[in-house]
Order: sequence, then C-alpha cells, then structure tokens
Amino acid sequence: MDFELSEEQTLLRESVLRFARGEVADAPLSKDAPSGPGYSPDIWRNFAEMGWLGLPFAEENGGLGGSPIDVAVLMEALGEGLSRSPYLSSILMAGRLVETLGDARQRGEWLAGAIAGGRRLAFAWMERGARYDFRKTALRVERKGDGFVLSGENSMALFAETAQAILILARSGGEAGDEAGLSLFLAPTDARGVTLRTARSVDGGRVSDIVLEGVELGPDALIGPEGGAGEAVGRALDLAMIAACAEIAGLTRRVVEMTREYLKTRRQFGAALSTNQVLGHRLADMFIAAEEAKSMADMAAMKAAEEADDWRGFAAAAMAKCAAAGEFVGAEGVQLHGGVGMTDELQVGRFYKRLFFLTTLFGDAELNLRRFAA
Amino acid sequence: MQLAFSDEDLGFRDEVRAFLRQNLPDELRDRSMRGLHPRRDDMIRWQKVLAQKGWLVPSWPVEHGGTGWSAARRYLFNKEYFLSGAPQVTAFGVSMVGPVIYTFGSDEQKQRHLPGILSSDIWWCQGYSEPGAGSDLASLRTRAVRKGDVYVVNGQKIWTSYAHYADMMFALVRTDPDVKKQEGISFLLIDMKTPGITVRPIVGLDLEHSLNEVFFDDVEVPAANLIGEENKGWTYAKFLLGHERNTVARVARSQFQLQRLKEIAAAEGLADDPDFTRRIAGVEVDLLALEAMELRYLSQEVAGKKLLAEPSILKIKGAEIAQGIKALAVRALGPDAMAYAPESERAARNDPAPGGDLAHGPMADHLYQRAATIYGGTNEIQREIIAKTLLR
Repeated sequence: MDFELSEEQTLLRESVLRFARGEVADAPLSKDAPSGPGYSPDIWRNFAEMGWLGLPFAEENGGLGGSPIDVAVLMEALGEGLSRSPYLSSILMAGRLVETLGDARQRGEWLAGAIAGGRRLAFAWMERGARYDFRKTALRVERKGDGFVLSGENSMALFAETAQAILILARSGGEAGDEAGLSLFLAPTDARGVTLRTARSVDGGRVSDIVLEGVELGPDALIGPEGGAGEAVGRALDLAMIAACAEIAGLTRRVVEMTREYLKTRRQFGAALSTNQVLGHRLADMFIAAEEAKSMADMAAMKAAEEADDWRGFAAAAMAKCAAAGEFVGAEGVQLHGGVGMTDELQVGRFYKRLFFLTTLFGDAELNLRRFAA
Repeated sequence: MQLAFSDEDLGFRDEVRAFLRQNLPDELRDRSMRGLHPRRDDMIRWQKVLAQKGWLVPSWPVEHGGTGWSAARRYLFNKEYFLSGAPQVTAFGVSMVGPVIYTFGSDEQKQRHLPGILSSDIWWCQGYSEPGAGSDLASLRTRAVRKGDVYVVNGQKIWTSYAHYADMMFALVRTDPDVKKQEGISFLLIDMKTPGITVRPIVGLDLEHSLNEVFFDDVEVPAANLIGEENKGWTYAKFLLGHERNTVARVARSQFQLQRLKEIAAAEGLADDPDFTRRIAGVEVDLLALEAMELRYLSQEVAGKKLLAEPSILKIKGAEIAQGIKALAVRALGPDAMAYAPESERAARNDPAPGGDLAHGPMADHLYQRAATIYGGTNEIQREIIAKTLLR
C-alpha cells in the first residue's frame, strides 16, 4: 500500500502542472470563446509533443505504456489548471477502444494519428433518453454488401465537430438494454449522411447532437467484433470515469486553495473573513470533501491498475463520492467568494462549471450510488 | 386557527386568475417557465398592462396608487400572479425606491418621481454594494460632497443589476466620513445621464450581462435629489429592506418552478423512478414547510407581533429551495444538461440546439440562482441575524 508518486510520476505531474498552471501557456487552456473548437489546438499539439496523448497506450502501439495511475496523475494536474480538452473523450474513450478492439491496420492508421496529434477521434456513445446506460443504444446498423449502413441519432458527443472521425456505438443485434449486439464503427466526420448540431458545453467545450441518415461505411469501418463491443465499451467508460475522478480531485483541491486565499485576503467588518469561525468551518468541510475525492480517485486508479476484482464497482463508488464533492466544493467556492464568485472573470466560477460538467458526464452522485448498489 | 379564506376572497382570487389567463403574453409565460429573464421591452409593456388594471403596486398606499387590499388578498394575488407564470415586476422602482420616496421624500420628489415608476417609463437601478462594501454595506465609501446646490459624487458601485437599462439610480453615498459608519450615509437619487457616470458590464457565470460596475467621476447631483435628511440614509435603506421582506420567501415562484421540474422529470422518463421522485418530494416538502411558515408569520404580523429573526428564515429557506429545485431540474435533464450557451448564441442558430428544447433555460437559471444565497444579504449574514436575535 503506497499512495506516494514514483519519481517518473512526480516528473509527469510537474511537467503537466507547468502547462496547467499557466507557466507554459495561460489563457488558451481555460478561455471560453463562442466560436472555434472549444479547446486549444496549440496546446493539444504540445500534449502530443510531450507524449501525453500516448500515455495510456501500449508501447508496441506507439504509446508510453502508462497505467491508470499515470493517467490519474496527468488528469489531476490538468484539473488543477482547469484545462479543458478532448483528452477524456478522444484519448481515454475513443483511443482506448481503438487500441483494445481495432486490428493492426486500424491501430496503425487511427491510434498512431491520435497519439501524434494529427488525427483526433470523437466518441458518440450517448442517446437521448438512455440516461448514461450505453446498453440502451438503439442506433441501427444494417448490412449492405460487405459494408454497413447506420441510421439513427446520437447526442452529446464531445468535441466531435473538429474531430477527423467519430467512433459510433451502434446496435447490430439484440434489444436496447442488452450489452450483447453492440458494435463500434469509425466514420469520417464529413461522411455523407452525417449531420452535426454543435453548441458550447457549460464548461466552454463543445457538444454535438449527431444525426445519421443512411450513412454507408465500408467493411474496414467496423472496429472489433460485430455485435461484441459492449464489454470493452463498459470497461473503457469505467476507466475514463476513474480518470474524471482524478480531474475532480485536482479541481476541488484548487477551489479549496483559492477560497482559502480569498478568505484570508477579503476584509469585511474590519477583519479578514478568515477570522470568522463559521467561514473557517465551511472551508474545513470543503477541504474534507476534496480529501475524500482525492483518496477515492487514487484508490480507484490503483484498483484499476491492478485489475482488482472489485475495480469496476469501486469506480462507481469513487464517482459517487467525487461527484458529491465536486458539486459541494464548487457551490461552496462560489458562495464563499460572494458576488465576485458569480462573475465569468474569476476562476472559481469556471471551476464550478467544469465540475458541473464532470459530475454530469458519467451521472451524478445519486446515479453512481445506484450503480454501486447494483 | 382557521385555514379557509372567505368566499369573497376566493371570488377575488378567481378574478385575478381569469385576468392573468387572458392578459399574460405567452412569450412571457414561456420565459418564466424556462427560468429566463424577461426582456426589457416585454417587461415594460406587461407592467403597463398591470398598471392599467391598477395592480402594479398593490401594497402602496391608496393615495399613491395602491389597492388597499387586505393581507389575505395581497397574499392571494401574489400566489395567483406567480403561479400563472407572470414575471416578477421589476423591483427597483416599484418595491424599492418607490416606497422610500412616498414615505420619506418631499412633495416635489413624489410628484417628480412616482409617476415614472407607476407608468414604468423610468427604469431604476440600485447603487448599494461597492468593491469593499458587500456584506459590510455600511462601510461604503462612494463620497458625496455638498458644494452649493449640488453634491459632487466620486466613487464606484458594483453588482448593479440592469444599470445599463437604467434612467435613474438610488444610491447610498458617504456624506460624513468622520462619524460612526452608519451615521454618515445619505440616500441620493442620481440621473444616469449625468456627465461623469460610466457603466461597465460584468459578465456572469451564465455568460449573460445583467450586472454592472458604475463609476462616478465628479458627478454633480442636484441637492434637491437628497431623500430626507443628510446622513440619515442608513435608516431609509433599512426601511427599504423591511419592505422587501414580503417577497423573500418566493413561495409561489418556487411552486411554479416545481411544477416545471415535474414536467421535465416526466418528459425524461423519471415519473416512475423512485429515487428521483423521492428527491423531488424532498424539496416539495421543504417548500410546503416554507409556505406554512410564511403564512404563520403573516398572521402574526396581522395580529401585531413584530417579526425579528423570521424574515431571515424566509430568505434562507426561500433561496435554498429555489436553488434546490433548479439543481434537480438540471439533474433531470441528465447528459443534456452539459450543453449550455448564452441566449444570444442560441438565438443566432437556424437549427435546434443540442440538448433539445427542455434544456433551454434550466441551466441558465441554475447558474444564475447561485446568486440567490448571495444577494440581498447572504445566507451567512441572515444566519448571523438569527443567531444574534436568539442569543441576545
């Protein structure tokens, strides 16, 4: 049992923090602009140069062979810097699935491109009404010659508009609700019949609803066994959820830090707010929640790294705690900042919104409690 | 104790209900339902409709345009009003500066300023908070120095809602820096077009512009715009806060939003979800308790009891419940709640925005409602008031 970072992990953390805390580049990480891709392609290229886009992938696939713990180290540091990027969806979800299920040619084409930063994948796994249960996917696949035709709708795909291709979860057989019968297809974003409706996400990223109308794909678009992708999708989503827990740990730590600084600096009634015992206790509760989140995120990453028997149930427990902590710490951070906490200018509000996003992407605390109980 | 209203009062309630059903524009109702702020011009038009009916300022004295309704009727009106989806009347003129002017203003001030409030042609804003004076409002430093017939005003206000719409501001200014802080404050009416005033927008969490900073650089305000006596401004400000009290619980507004929450939950397939239903029940029961408290305090007030800590209870619970309802609404939306863009971006599209129609509004309101526990005296300050009352 050892929660300390290795020398390599410490180096990784420090180099990510240099980006995330703005020593390498400041505004682009968190800047929220109405137009554009919703993240910084320059920083994404930097990520590629640093090797981070290959962190979770095996060395024989061109990656760094990092474990879920290494990924957690990276994600936590990114969280501390509020660095919204497509990392979760493009690397940890879509990239991992191509690595796990793709053949050598698909890996060579798409994974190598993703690691190099030149070809980015999006992942479309949500359908309206499915409420976080990918098994409810209904998007239809039909055979046509030796290829496939996809028809249906997908929702809330992250950073899909500027991706080169979208990994689409579809149903080849079985009923909505079954894990069996699910297939993955890689479709170019500009394929005929693919329509994207894109808007900002609450944290300033991009989300797209996707309509597929008779989209014809060749046999090489199928990633993994036809009708047999469900198990790998579930594992990839749980691993990504553990990574999101690490980001929440980083975000909540920073909110506690900035709230602490504010209480020490802001003066009302002739004294610093920090001298008010009630506010001190509120900060203490925020700190406790952030510590719980960090501990659960670390534990979940270690369990996943060791493939412990209970790692997937533990992932749900970790998100139940991290989502509750994320909501609580974010809201208290805004509240204790008072009026300035309500502005777009101050960082605490942006942390609040990123925390909302991450506590929504995999379901909130209640939903993950249910998952844990199941 | 008696629960029922009289038949006459119930008849009155039906009249209010029928009027609102016939006259409230669908667009305004739709925006209320979504939790979006009414647009300025729509609001002015609607207030003129209310004014024509004689219902814009029910609680004002009859000689100034009020209705003379009993407490029961004011309560029934308020409830019907918000349950219909009608937007809250812009408070700055009607509920804030208006009562200060008719209570403490000179005859000349009443004649000059009350008609513009009653016609909704003059938009007011509130110049209270400053960068260094938030919860500790009395430490405000915007300085007003009397020179002949004018006060020369220098300083800065912040969190000024809709200052960019405003024709006039009522402001607390420091006229004596050398006495106890509450005793050197005056209440001034300031024309926003006076040279030396700069309004700068503050973009909120919701990426919308409703808040502002207002800067005063040698702004000359006629001495005739001083309300009451110099250095007595704090008294008038406290009177105004007392006047706001009646709406702090916002029970009917929350009931309206609770109804919307249930609609969203049903549309999202959660009507039979025992966990989610229980979460809604939790906030609904809180709201029932709040309404029961409000009615009890109302009855105590009618019976002549002076309320002390009670309004603070209503403010705390009212704000927390409003936040709780919106927090559940965005949770009911599930992953669709991730999509959020300010209204201007949504309006510029010619296709449906991601997230669907139900998601249009709740997130904007969820973000905005974070302020409910901050403005008008934070919940921390309200708890301080309760504790002081109890431990005195």
